[in-house]
Amino acid sequence: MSLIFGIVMASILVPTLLIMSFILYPKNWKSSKLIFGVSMRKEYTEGDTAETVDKLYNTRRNQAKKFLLLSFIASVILLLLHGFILQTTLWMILIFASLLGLYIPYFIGNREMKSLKRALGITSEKISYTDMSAAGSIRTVKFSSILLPNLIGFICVLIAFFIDLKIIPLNSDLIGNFMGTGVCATFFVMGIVISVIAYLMDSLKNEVISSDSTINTNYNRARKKNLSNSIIAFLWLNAVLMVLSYVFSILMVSELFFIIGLILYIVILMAGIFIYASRNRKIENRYKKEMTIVEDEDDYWIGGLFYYNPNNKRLNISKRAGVGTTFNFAHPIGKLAGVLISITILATIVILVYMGMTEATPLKLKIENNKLICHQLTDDYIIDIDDISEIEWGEDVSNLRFFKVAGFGISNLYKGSFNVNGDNDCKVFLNPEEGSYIRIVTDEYTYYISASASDETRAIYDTLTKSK
Amino acid sequence: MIIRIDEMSDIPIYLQLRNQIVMGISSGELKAGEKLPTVRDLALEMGINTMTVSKAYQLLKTEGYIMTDRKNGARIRTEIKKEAYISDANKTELKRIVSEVRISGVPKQELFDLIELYWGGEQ
Repeated sequence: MSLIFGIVMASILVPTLLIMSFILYPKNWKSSKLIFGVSMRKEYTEGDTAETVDKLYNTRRNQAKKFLLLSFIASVILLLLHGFILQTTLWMILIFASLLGLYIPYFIGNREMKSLKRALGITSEKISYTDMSAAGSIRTVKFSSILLPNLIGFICVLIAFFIDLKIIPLNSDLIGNFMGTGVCATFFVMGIVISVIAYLMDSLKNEVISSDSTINTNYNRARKKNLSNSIIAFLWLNAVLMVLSYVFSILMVSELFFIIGLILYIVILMAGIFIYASRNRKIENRYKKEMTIVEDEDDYWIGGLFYYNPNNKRLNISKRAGVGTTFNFAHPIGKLAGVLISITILATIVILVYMGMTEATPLKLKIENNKLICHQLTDDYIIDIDDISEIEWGEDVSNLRFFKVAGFGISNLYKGSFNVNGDNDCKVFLNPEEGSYIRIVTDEYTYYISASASDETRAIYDTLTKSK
Repeated sequence: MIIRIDEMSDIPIYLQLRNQIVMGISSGELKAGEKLPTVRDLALEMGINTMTVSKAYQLLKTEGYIMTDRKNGARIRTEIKKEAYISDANKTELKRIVSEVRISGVPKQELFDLIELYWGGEQ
């Protein structure tokens, strides 16, 4: 299981890093529109300056290559590790470190290019260009084309919901715990989020590259058409994989199919992003000769990555480094988004620390004041002994079939709401590696519990049977 | 038509926009009867406040360069009133330009050539 998890994480990380390096560090900087987030100028490609830029560029590019290589080696090492929480924590650290590592040479390169620009006496004119004929007229994302895949997604969620409510009869152990509805809803929400992003990107400012409006219109339409085609392809992929995931994971009751589907989904998604990015580059190359107007916004791009322009009232801006759109962090909503992103990153770290502490803390069972308490970091379950209607000793937990609904479901800890042998109303608090367990039935739930040590579990079982 | 806004200029953005549209009409880039973008679309495209665009359109309407109606939005007037006189403000501005050019030692003919060029519609 941990190997499969590692493969999933590697299938996310490796293509992401490859795409990022392809976008941030193109082989030939002279044919790029930007050098480390600084607008390309004719002055950079001439005489001694060209040599300086070449040296600077290759130094930072080689550093990024080394980071990339280190990240790939680290990914292979992590594939060999065991222990879910340890693996998750290390994968998260690796993802953060790899992205940061890939961006550090870019940040430094951006600073160096800005210094060079100042040394050459080039100052930002702070002039913005707008093509009047493009205002509000270049739109390629059509509502009708994104409606159908989202509608299919919505219908799937409804069907899954009705199946879980048993309004639509279907024979499966996993029906009734809303896991299938959850899977479909996740894909559906993903489709809606992507549709919103598509609309935002479609309404991005049209770039002015020439004094000829026809060239500007064709250039912007080509870029937006590429985006719209990619989004529609993604939405259909999302809808198809939603249906397949539901069928395989719920009806065939196989987690393996679900994981294979997930890996396939990520790989296709990454391939799609790569195709989108390479097509965009082709468009840039095609219009390179026509580019006579360069809008210098270098000073508004902090590190070539974060856009901060109080003079611009737009919230969403086309990314300089990467694919898609980013916020104008000078906009009030942009500031709020910045805070939320920071909170999300901090929350991820806190959750990982909490998960690590949970995995390291042994499971305890104790009886106090006629109550059975299942304690790990906190009192997870408190069961009134008088409410217990049935107690059963189980020798081998591997005879049971567990499906997690909510909570922990890792190799040495099952904790939370589970479907056990087709029963949805189960609370689980056990270490599946220990083997023995106690099954407790109350009016409300069926509990499957154990302490970290078998003899401790047995002692609690004996006490409970005596007191009943 | 390309609108060029100087963010560091002392001239307010609405006035820069107004001036650019007037120059567009003069050069023929904006033709009589041509539809202008809506206030919202142009503001979104330029990344400025809708009030700024609205103020520029209002000024152009007052000056008789454009006409607006709720159904068709803003359009360049088909018949722009030809009053055939230079306003006092423009005379003062022209005097300033001539003075600066003269002090800097530019030959008179060069200025005339420029006027000829701009009069002809090229920018």
